[in-house]
Amino acid sequence: MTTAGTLGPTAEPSARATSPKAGGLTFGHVVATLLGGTLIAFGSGLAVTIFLPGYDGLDEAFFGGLTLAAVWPVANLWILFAPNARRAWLRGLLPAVVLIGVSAAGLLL
Amino acid sequence: MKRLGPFKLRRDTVQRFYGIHSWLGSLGGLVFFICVFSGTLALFERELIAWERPATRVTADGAEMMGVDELLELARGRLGEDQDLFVMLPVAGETGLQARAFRDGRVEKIFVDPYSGAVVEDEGHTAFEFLTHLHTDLHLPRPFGRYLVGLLGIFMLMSLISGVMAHPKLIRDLFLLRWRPSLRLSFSDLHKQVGVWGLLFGLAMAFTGAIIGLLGLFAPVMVLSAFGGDVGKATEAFSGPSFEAVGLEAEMLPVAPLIDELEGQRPGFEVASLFFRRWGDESAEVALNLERAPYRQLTTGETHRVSMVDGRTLHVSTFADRGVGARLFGAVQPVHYGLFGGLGLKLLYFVAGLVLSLGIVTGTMIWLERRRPAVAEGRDRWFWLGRLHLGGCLGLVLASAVAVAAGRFAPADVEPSFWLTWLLVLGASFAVRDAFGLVRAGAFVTGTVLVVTGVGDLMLSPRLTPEVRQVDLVLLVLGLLTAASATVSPRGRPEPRARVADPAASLLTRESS
Repeated sequence: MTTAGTLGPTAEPSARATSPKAGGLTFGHVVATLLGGTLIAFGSGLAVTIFLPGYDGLDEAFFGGLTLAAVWPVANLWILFAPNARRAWLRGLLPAVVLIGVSAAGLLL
Repeated sequence: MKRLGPFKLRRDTVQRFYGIHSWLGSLGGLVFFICVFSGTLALFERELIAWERPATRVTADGAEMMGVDELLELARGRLGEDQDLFVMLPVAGETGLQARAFRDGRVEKIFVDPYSGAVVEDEGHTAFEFLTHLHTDLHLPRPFGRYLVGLLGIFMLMSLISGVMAHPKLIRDLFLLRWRPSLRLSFSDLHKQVGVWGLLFGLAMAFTGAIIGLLGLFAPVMVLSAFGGDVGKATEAFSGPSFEAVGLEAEMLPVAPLIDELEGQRPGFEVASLFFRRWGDESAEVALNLERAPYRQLTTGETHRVSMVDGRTLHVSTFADRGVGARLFGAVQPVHYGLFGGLGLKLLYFVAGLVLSLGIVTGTMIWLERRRPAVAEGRDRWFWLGRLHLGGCLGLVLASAVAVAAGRFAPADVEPSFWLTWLLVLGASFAVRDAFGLVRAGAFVTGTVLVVTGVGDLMLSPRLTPEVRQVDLVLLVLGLLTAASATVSPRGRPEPRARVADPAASLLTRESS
């Protein structure tokens, strides 16, 4: 770790924009990404499986799996782009809670 | 604010993408390389069995091929009557029948020559099976290795996406390759070139690899939502009902007529493999796996489960007749393993895999080159990472060549020779000061091993089929090219133009340390 909790060498001269002053990556970003990105991905997969118009049950499950894998990296990048760690947690957990909550409601109803 | 590139991104956005891309590459570069390079070699696992095991090479010599049931009887005689058996059918003039029995968590494998009826027991893993396991599981216990590789696919997707977004002048630089001015510039140009040209391939491999790797992790979640958590119901929806042995003996039907009947019903398809369960029991069945004229299908083939007692069809599972989601999902494996376009496509995959590997190495080198000023100031805490990458990547290439040679000439020594070579190179990368010299030596030794293996097989092999000769020739050419690359590799850091020689010690050479 360098000063202010940024990840080391990206704060070197040629990557100055990722320094803390410019809103650089922190360990908070990384943890929020690992957790939030995973939850968003699984939430999306669940939502697609539950709410996609049915074909035979299995088809929706396969679509859900594909969605999960496609959403995961994009969600991770989106969280990493948060200007600070607090926003990163928000970006990770809020959509995840919504997606999983809506999916759970759909499952129960 | 000025916006950059075709996506009109803000400068700080581009720089953030750059930061993410460089961090993902520097932390995951070595593992990415292990996965991609071993996967590139693992593409040919099925094709190279006959090359690695001379005893399994098949020559007709004018003889008639024996019937499937006769061959199966020979296989059962060796593996036992009571075993569940997976069988890959012989291909006339090319490969024999392969049978695998599953006993106490172990796999026993034999080959049966379809012309002479000779049964050959397997001598352990082939080198390509070993490399395949490195690719799919990193030789870690299942399922953790598989999940880790799947996660690597996700991180690789992130790396590829952030890499594209971080280079706003990507299209303009598509044909720009500067060798001379500095190593970092050369690496940077080369990285962009291979990154763009191999982008679609990289995205496809990372995405499909992530799905294959993480399937065990997310399938239960999908089942939970689509089938109310009933795993049995989900399995039955795809694979059909499951049965237990009833303990009553029954006479088994011959398999050849079942194969003929099925191939007659499904023109354009052929039965490639069989899976026998509960042989001799009244509940005995065989799963016949059909492929569309081998290696020509974008969706995984069909499986017909048939009773071995009365020949009735128990279940047919296929992706082809299902919805879009299932068909897309069914394309994941053929796309990842290059199973839909014949050997030509696999060779294209091989080249693309090497290009992707080169992209990973050059990316890491850019990152390390950027650390040079820190080294000059004595803050060389990233020195070890540079050496780890150097030894890890170079060591994997040499160790793979040694494993292939061992697989052909000393099958029992594939694993120890692989690990020992890798460790030796890894150790050398920390012990030898001249990294450029180490790379040259590594390339030369790798090339020599490949040439010796190819020539050795040509000279010592008892049965040289045309396919085997082609493999030997490919090894010879690859070996010569690799050895030749050692002679053209740089012998040291190029001197910067119009400047006094950079006094900074390099992470690679540490000449001034």
